[in-house]
Amino acid sequence: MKRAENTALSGLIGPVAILIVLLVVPFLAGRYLTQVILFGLITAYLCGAWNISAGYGGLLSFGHAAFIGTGAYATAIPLVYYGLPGWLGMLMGGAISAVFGFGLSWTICRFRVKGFYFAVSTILFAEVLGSIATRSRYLGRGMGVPLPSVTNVFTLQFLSVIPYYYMALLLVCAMVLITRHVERSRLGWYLRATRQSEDASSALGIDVTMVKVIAMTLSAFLTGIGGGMYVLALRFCDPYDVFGIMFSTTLMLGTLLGGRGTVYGPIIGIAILTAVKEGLTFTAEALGGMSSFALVLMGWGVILCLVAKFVPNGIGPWVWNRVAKKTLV
Amino acid sequence: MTFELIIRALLSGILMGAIYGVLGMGFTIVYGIVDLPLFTHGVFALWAMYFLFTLFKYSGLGPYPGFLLLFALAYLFGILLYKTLLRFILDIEHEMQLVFALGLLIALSNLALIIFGPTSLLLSIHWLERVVFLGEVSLKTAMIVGAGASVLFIVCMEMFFRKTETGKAIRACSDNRRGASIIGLNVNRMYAIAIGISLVCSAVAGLAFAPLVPIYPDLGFEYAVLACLVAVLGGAGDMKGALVAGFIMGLLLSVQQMFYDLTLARLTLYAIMLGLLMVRPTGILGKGKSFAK
Amino acid sequence: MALLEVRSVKKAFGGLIALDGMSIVVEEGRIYGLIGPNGAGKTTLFNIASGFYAPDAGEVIFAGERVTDLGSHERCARGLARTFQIPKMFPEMSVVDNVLIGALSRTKEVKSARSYAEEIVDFLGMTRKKDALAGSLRVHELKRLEIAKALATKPKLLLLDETMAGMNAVEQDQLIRLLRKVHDAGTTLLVVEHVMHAVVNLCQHVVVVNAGRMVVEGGTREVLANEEVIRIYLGEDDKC
Repeated sequence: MKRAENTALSGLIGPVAILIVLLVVPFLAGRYLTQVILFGLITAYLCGAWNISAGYGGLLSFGHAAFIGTGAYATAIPLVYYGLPGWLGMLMGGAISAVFGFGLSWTICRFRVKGFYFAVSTILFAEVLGSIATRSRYLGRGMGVPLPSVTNVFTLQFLSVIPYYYMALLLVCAMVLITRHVERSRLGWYLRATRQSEDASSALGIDVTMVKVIAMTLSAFLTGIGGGMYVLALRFCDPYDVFGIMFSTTLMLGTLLGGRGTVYGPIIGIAILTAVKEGLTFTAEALGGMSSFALVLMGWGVILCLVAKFVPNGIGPWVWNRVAKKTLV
Repeated sequence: MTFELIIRALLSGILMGAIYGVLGMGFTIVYGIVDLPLFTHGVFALWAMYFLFTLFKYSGLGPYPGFLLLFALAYLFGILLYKTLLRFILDIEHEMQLVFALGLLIALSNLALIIFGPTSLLLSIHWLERVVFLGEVSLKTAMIVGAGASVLFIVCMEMFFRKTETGKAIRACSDNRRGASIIGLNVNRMYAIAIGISLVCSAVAGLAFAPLVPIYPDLGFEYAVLACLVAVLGGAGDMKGALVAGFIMGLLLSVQQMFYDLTLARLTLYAIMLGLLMVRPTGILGKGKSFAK
Repeated sequence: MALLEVRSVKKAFGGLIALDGMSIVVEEGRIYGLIGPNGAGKTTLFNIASGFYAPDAGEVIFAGERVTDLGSHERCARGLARTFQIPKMFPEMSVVDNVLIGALSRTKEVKSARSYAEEIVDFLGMTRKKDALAGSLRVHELKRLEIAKALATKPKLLLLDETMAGMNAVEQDQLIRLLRKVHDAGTTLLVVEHVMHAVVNLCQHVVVVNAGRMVVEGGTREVLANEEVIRIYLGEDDKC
């Protein structure tokens, strides 16, 4: 664990530099690249949210898509049916997700559901919510909910990707600040302690249940907001997408690859994955006929296996040291 | 709600239950004996289905007797899988074993998607398509044969684990890995055999499912979850429990289908299982592992 | 003043009765030894007093307050701390960070908790190793760390679980001196021990338990000379 206080200032130079680069991307890059980075940013934000309960707290949820989907529908449905502003929908989605997160984590702690059973529970939770969405006529059934293509600043609807890009960038910055704050706070220390030894933590005055519940609730809240952001930018709410196991997996993969329990890990992880994704897509198209979508997902599976076995703590810090040394020194 | 409908629902529930049971048993063996929460298992059933389809398409060889080839390949693949991959994740962090299992599941599902494409494939073999009538109640031959094959295989497995030397040795390894190796058992060999057998379990399930449902890649995930649920309901690690659990699930699903569609039936099943996982993760017979490592 | 009172506590595990109406009283400001043969119920009593088990019957009173239904983290907040016989620490954190966790039970501010943690680390003579990872420490250092962590929670009563186990004579004497220092700084100690040498040299008062009940208690010399106590220990191969 690096001493965050000592490297506070010097540790910010790199990220700030990257932030500046990201700020000007939409003006330099074409629409396609901007869009790729936009969704990369949203996913990085979501990974950061997962990181709080899973990376720091050790609660490896395999079904975080439950919260993404909740946030997505809480944003999309009111917007389409009642014209509720997107940002309000996002907050609502966050709140409802937080309630789900609270309920799920409280139940899990109360019944001491651990490891494998916890993982399966979270998968089931996401599947149940997803099934409800695909069955409900009100929620658009399996067809999903398309969001109207209009421009309305008040409701956060835009035709261009650029406003969404800056919103996503804002979210990522907020996530970095939130994660830094949690990491240095007593909650962060308690989360780390709980993950390493629950008994020792209890004996030192830590309410292990409360700590886990707070982490999961916070994570769910932030994830719900991200889900709303996602459908606003995509302009489509597809239940198989937002509640799907693949979305949950992407969150896991990005965070684990980049480094769980670190502030920048999720961002680095998604950056790497985005590059891999574009590379694989290019390869699949060059080879002709092969589904690039399936190839990318297969790649995800393989990377997940490799990470689980060889670098469970991620390669983020290693990558960062290499990159930082090259560009800043 | 006619009498025939009820009987049909009950019968098909039990028949399908036998198939779910053998599907879950594959996972039960891996988790119970090798102590790996490899919930990938269902995806192997999917691959068995694709194999049988391809075999039939290109050689005209139907699933019965094609199953002989399938089982042999499944067993060998299981041994290979253990020796090249699973052996190396025995000692990693429990959470990471779960992550690995997920990665494997996704990789295999999408490999199937790449090779076979997203469209559903149908394995139709005339004699399996026929319907049998018990009085007024109609049942597909494929279902009866599939269930029969499952039960037959389960009985053989039970005999293997209880009566043969190898079977008993394998069970010894599950109780105490270090102890078993101290008394001279080659634990790796035992585990490899166990994994091979578990893959044949999945193959049996795939064999039974193949003529019954359209084959498409997402089934991999669905069967993986189903296998887990059967194993958990029966008590992860308890083989008899897995069969009983299979029956319960089969009945639950088919009875529900009298009233509404499969999606809602599955949804309710998941919700029930979610509740069960919280309250009694040792399974209905109470013999499963209650906590992770 | 009675700091800790265990009143008629009963606890059974399946068919095995561990505690059968156990009652002990720990007065403030003293060092108590809790001794008894194997299976006497010392560990169970310890875990019930510290909140890791709930009793089947009876009460636990700490500083005049009924804590029977409170969990171990709540008891820690009220000043009842404990160590583990097999040290449970946070292996990926440094020594001072381990103690920091304890200190955070008294203050939300990480900075002030950290400076207090460093004081504790110095007090216990671990300054040299303060940045070492807890997972890399040797056993006797881990025992010291156990005490440091618990001490950082500013306990009124510190329960110690067989701290001397596995220590050689030199290490034992060091720990005895350390615990005396902790006591002199104002903490009441209740020490579960098998090692008689430590009991004799550290504890002023001794409570003897056997078969789930308290047998006798009093000053160390008198209790250890007591006939019944000697009879209980005949056949044990503890050093006397």
